[in-house]
Parts: sequence; C-alpha cells; structure tokens
Amino acid sequence: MKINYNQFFKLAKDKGIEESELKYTSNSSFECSIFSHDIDSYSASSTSSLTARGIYNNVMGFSNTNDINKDSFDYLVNSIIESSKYIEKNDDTIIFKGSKKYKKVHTFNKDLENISKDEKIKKLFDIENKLYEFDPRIQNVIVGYSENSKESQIANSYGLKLKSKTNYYQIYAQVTAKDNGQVVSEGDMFIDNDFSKFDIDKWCDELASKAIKKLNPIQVKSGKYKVLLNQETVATLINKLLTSTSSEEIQKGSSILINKLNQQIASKKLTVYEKPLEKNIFARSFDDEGVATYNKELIKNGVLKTYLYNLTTAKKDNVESTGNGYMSGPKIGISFTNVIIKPGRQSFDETVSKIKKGIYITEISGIHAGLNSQSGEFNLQSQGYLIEDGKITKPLSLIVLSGNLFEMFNNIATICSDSKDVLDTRVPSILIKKLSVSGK
Amino acid sequence: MISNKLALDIINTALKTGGDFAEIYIENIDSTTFRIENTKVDSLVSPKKIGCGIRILKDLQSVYGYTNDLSKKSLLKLADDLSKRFNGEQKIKLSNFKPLKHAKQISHMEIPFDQVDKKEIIEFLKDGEKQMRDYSSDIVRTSASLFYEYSLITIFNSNGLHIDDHRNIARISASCVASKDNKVQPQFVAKGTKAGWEFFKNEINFNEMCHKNAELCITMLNAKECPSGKMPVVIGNGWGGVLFHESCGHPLEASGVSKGLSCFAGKLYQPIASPIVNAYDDATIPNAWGSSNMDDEGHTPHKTQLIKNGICVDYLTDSFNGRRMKKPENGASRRQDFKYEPTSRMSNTYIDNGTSTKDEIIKATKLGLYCVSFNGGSVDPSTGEFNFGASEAYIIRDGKICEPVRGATLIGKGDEILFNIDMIANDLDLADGMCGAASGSIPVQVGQPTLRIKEITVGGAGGKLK
Repeated sequence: MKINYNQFFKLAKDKGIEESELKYTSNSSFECSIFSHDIDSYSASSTSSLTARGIYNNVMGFSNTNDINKDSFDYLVNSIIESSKYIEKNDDTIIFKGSKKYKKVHTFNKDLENISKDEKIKKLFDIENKLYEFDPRIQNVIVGYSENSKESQIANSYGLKLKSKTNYYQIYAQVTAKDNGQVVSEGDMFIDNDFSKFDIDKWCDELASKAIKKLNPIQVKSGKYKVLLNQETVATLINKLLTSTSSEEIQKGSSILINKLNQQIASKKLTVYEKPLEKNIFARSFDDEGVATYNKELIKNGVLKTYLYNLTTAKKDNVESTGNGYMSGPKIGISFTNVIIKPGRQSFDETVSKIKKGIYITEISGIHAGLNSQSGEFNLQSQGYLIEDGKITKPLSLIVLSGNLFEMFNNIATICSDSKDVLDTRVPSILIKKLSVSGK
Repeated sequence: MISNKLALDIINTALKTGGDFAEIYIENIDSTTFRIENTKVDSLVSPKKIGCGIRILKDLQSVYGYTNDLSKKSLLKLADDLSKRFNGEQKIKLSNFKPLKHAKQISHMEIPFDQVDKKEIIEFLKDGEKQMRDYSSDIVRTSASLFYEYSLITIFNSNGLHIDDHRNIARISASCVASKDNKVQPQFVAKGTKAGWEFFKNEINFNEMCHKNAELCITMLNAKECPSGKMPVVIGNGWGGVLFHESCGHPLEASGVSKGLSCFAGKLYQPIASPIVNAYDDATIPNAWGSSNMDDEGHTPHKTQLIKNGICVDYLTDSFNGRRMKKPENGASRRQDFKYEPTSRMSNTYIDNGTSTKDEIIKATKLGLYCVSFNGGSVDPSTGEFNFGASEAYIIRDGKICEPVRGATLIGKGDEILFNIDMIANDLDLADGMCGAASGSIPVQVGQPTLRIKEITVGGAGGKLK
C-alpha cells in the first residue's frame, strides 16, 4: 500500500502538531499444523496498521489504527490532539532527526516465499513420521509450521525515512511419551529464514530422544546442589537479568543496578554482548525511534559497562541513546536483541565429568509468576536430570529451582564452550556453584 | 460493515470446494486507556481496530484466515484462497441468512465510560495512586490505569446464522514498586467489569484497593523467603482459584481433551477429584468480567458443571473439537480477536462452596502454608504438571496465621491435587484475570472458597519448614 507520508505531516502541522512521525506496518503469515496424520489447522493472514506520534502543546501524543481508509490521517491527528489535552508528562517529546549512518542488516530471504506451501506442509508429515518411528512410547505428536513476513516504514516530519523487511519460518513440535501409565511431554522449535538450514533427522532425533529420556522421573530431595544450566535456561535467565540494565528502570528507582555502572555485578567469568547487527533474523539496523543500533559490550568480566538508553532517558542522563528504544504500547520503552554470552574453554562433557553430585536443569517454566526480574528472585518449576559421579543419570520432575539472578551470575563455577542459538540469544551451558532445589 | 449479500458471497465462495461449514467473524473495536504514573497523566490512547476472520471446516480439518482490509475484493480473495485448501465439489450452497439476531445482553451499563468527563476519571485514578505513594517512603514507583473497550461483533455462518453482539469491558488497575536494602518488590491489583463507570465509582472502593496493594507490597518486601518441601497448604478464596483454573480448568478444555492431550481425556463420569469438590464454568453471571452475551461462534453462553461430587461430568467444548469428541458445543468457544481461530476456553470458573469455615481450616492446620493470592501460574495440559507463584503467603503455626513469606511456588499435578483437597470453606469469591492460551488472551474470572490441600510440593529459598 502506498502511504503519502508528506500529506500526513502537512495535515498534522496545519492542525498545530509541531513535529510528527508516522509508521506503516504490514504483515502476512501462513500457518499449518498436523495431528494424527492429517492437516489439523491451516491459517493465512494479511494485516496492516498505521501508528503516529506527534508533539502538541509540548507533550507527545500517540495514536494507532488498522482501519485504513481516506479518513485515517484525520483520525490519527485528531486523536493525538485530543490525548495531548490531558497528558501531563513532557519529558519524552523527541522526534529524531536521524543518525549519521545506518548499517544494513539482512533479515529477508526471498527464496523462502518461492518454496511452495505444499512442500512446507509435506515436511511436517515427514517430521511426524520420524517422531513416531523413533520409539513406540512416543504417543502423541503435534507438528506445525508458521511463516511470517513483515515490512515496516517509519518516517517523520524532519524528513527521516527508514524501511525494514523481515521474514522467517518456525517449525515446532510437541510430543508426549508414555510408559507405565506415566506421561511426559517435550517440545522444540526451529526458527530461521533459510529453509535448507532445517536438518530434519538431527532435529527429530534430538526431540524424540529428549522425550524418551524424561520417562519415569523421580523427585529429588530438597537441598542445595551444584546446578548445571542448559543453554535454553541460561538464555531465559540472562535476558531477565538484563532487563535491569534499562535506564528507565534505573531512573525510576526500580532497578537493583542503580549506581552500579563500571562496577562488578557478576562473576569475572561472565562477559555479555548485545549485537543487534549480528547476521540473523533478529537483527535490527535501527530502533523504534529511528536511532541506528550498534554492537556493544554490556558486561565485561563481570563489570557492568553500560545502561541501555532510548532518546528520552539518554537526554536525562546527558548521554547518547544506545539504540535500544522499543515501542511498548503507546510509549517508547527499552529493550534489546541478540544477546551473546562469551563461551568458556571447558566442554560440556568435561564439566559434567567433574561433578560428583549435582543437577542438570533442562527446562524452567512459569517465568511470569515465578521470577521477579526487578529483585532477581526466582522460584521456578523445573525439569532436568541428576548428575552422579560425573554422569547424567535419572530424570527429575516436580522440582523447584530457587535463587536470585544477581547472586547466581556471581556464583558461576564454569562457563562451558557449547554455545547455542536460542532464539535471539547465543549462550553456552553454565555451572553454578550452589542453588536451592526443592523436591521431596 | 459487511452487507448480507457480500457475506453470502463469501460463505458460498468459502464452501465451493466441499467445506461443510463456513463462518465470518467481524469486529469493530474502540478502546481507551488512561495511565497515570508517578502522579502525572503518562498516556491516554484511543486506538481503533477492525478485522475479519473467515473459517471453513471440513470434517476434522479447519482452515482460518484473517485480514483488516474489509473491502469486497480482499474478503472474497481471502475466502477463495482458503477454499483452495480443499479440492472437493460444493456440497452446501446458502441462499440467504435468517433474520439478524442480537445477542441477549446479560450485563448492564448504567453510565457509559465515553460519557464520563475524562478529567473525572483522571482525578479518580490519581486519588488511588496517591494512597500507594503516601503509604510508605519505600514505595518508589506507582501507577494507576483504566481501560475500557466497546466492540461490535457480527457473525455470519453457513447454518444461516446472522447475529451481532455489543460488548463492553473495563478494567481498573494499580501497581507499585517498593525498594529497600537491595530488595525490589512489585505489587499489582486489578478489578474488571462488564458494567459501566458506576461499578468503579460506587461498587468498589478504589482508594482502599490501592491502599491494600501498597500495604501488601511493603509486607512482602520485608517478608522472609518461603521454606520448601512437602506441606499442607491452605489456599485463599477468590484469586486462590487460579490454582483450579490452571491445574484443572485448562485440562478440561476440549482443545486438549479431543486429541487425547489432556490428563482428563477419557475421564468423563469418572472420579477426578475428592468427593467434596464441585466445580462450574459459568459464562452467564451478569456484569462479571469473564461472562459473555454469546460465545465467539455466536452460541448462547452456558453455566456448565464440570465436576460433581468429585466426578468429571462435562468438558468445555467448542463446535470444532466437539466433532472429534462427538459431543455438542456448550457455549465455550472464545478468542481474543479476529486474529485467532476460536477454541474451547473458560469464562468464570470456580470451585463451589463446601461445608467448613475458613477459621476451621486454619485451626485444623498445625504447620503449613497459607497462600492468599498468586501472581499466576502455568500448566502443561498433557502431563497435568503445574506451577503457581504466590504473591501473598503466610506460615500457619498451631492453627494460627503467622509470619509472611515471599517467593512461594507450588508445584504438582492437576490430576493428583484435586484428590488431595480435604477441606472446603463456604466463602466462595471470584477474582478477575487475563488468561492466555491458543486463541489469545481473554478476560476470565477464577474463584473458589478457602480450601486446604493435604500435601503439595512448595518451592522456596528458605530451607526446611520448622
């Protein structure tokens, strides 16, 4: 759809909106899932929306609509003006003139669209067959494919105009395995925009064997254990920890990292980067305010190197935005993409071999209720295995892993060398010296 | 928004390759959100949303598509594209719809929100927010917000149904963050309704709600870490019902049951709970946050008994999953918006009153945990394994409620915990929440009287309970 941005900026200016910004986003998606050797659901969509921000009477108004017609610009402008009458906060009135340079990111792969839907669906049936064939104890399998394509354009009355285009697909499966009347479940998801990168044999074998290994779990005795966290668990926890580096949380007094810049906040073994320009589908050339992103060190040998800023919070601290302004409802909040933990030298196997008694955690759940990212405290339902005499032995279920993120990342015994991509996070397994585990 | 003639064209286009059912779901939504943060109006937004979802069913297959482009060209193209997933001959051709029906309004809005002066709403929120700010100097962040939404939903389907529903929902919420000695404690409270402004103004006391939120925030900030291990747990009424919602409500939804992916699949008319447990899902309670005038397939909402004296007597069933189960729908098909295909979901779901009193239950507990309320939880319906994080909890010693504890997490299995309920009080209450699942995030009520679970695993960092 062709959007006449200048017409919008003129209309806004004529009605007294000093500076304004308009964003047009369009999405299309296709999803399919199969169950019991048949297509279970299939869906397709195309949607679009217009989002506008504008400075009126020294405050920032916001509006959005997906009812796109000849009256949409009027609606957006009037709605910004109406809301501005009541808004009392005027420290976030910045429409950005633009960064000097924007680095290109490659997040769109046109080959993906050229592969037929039937070929993609056929892949699901192949996955289903492989999963059922793996072991007779695999009882139920749901396999799905979803593909998304998104284009957005952001422009403002200073003449800044930026475009982004992304596409990706996800293949996911959920299996349940049954033995002795006991049921366990396991799921996995693969995400990329290059269809050839999906290795069906490896993926299915890993998923099915994980499910089978979980069968006949035991509940461990409550106590403190050496705990080895797998990459998925580390990814979830490091992303939660980093929310405290938001300058907004710092400025509002709700982050534990107040006054901790350039201080030791974690183990010397821990180095963490944010690399928004990394070559993957999560890459971003600019943030939601139009500020160019860049790769940066967040934690170096345990020392906090920077807070994350958008334009508003940067102005308050008299620094430059770090390109971390992300739209959160009607406001520009703070977020990040592509977090990377620097891997260590010791392999996963060697790390396990040195543990006399410990617990290997492979899954945590209930994050929204069991983890307080502001205080760092967590009490999370977990699954995993017992480690005895240097070997991973019995599967565990119905256990709770408890601790504090800040203490835990201070208490690192070993960072393994086995880095793995977990969505937009690349992290290795990490051994923690001691954590509380509740069970029997 | 869409003429009958166009709707008819869409339905017949959708069915041209042998589909046995087609449906058009159209929504037009206007909402407004006020947000006050740290004493100032931080944002006031009124987004507009329209959209259409088209669904075709053929035996046990479903095809769904959606768009916000409601032009004739776009909708007919969507119906045509979707129909290509099947390759049979047209079996059903609809010649017209039955006369338009309006869903019966079960809620009553005396003062519509859009007729209230925005300044009155802002002052109301600021008063509440001030209660939290004034409560303690350890409270560093406060916010209060009000959200209301009006929507018009129209449904056409190949059975000739043409029905519309005017819906309104509103929710008020308050949150604060306390910080002291390297500890940070957030606390949140909310109340929703399908009535109008009069509900917030006259029926609830927002200032008191905010005051209690701040009080709890400070209590929890200073609380010790919860002990861990297996212990008896008394669960509070109202919000405590999230336990039943997660551990037993979700596995009773047809979406999992129909595929054998639920721990309650195949358990109809069998005991799944202790004989003192009776549970309902009731979408017909006037003005309640989880009620509906019609479900999202246009069916009349029901009050459905799910568990009777411990026996599973029904599942929450939508028409599509009902096909696999050979069971009629019971008004439980819901979705967040046009972007979601509807499926079986809960509405206002609760465990009914028992014969004990709260005092009797506390007195009968020598050493255990009293969980008043939860932040939420999650469940894997295939295994029934669940977890809940308590937002307010105390240790019970010698039949008395004693010190508060933070970070209590309860874990267990839905199909086991129901048998472990050994006392149920008579103080049933319902509380409002949002429930997220396959068909999006929807308003629901959870509820129960105070009850006791004989033994459950509690996780926490506070060592053994002594």
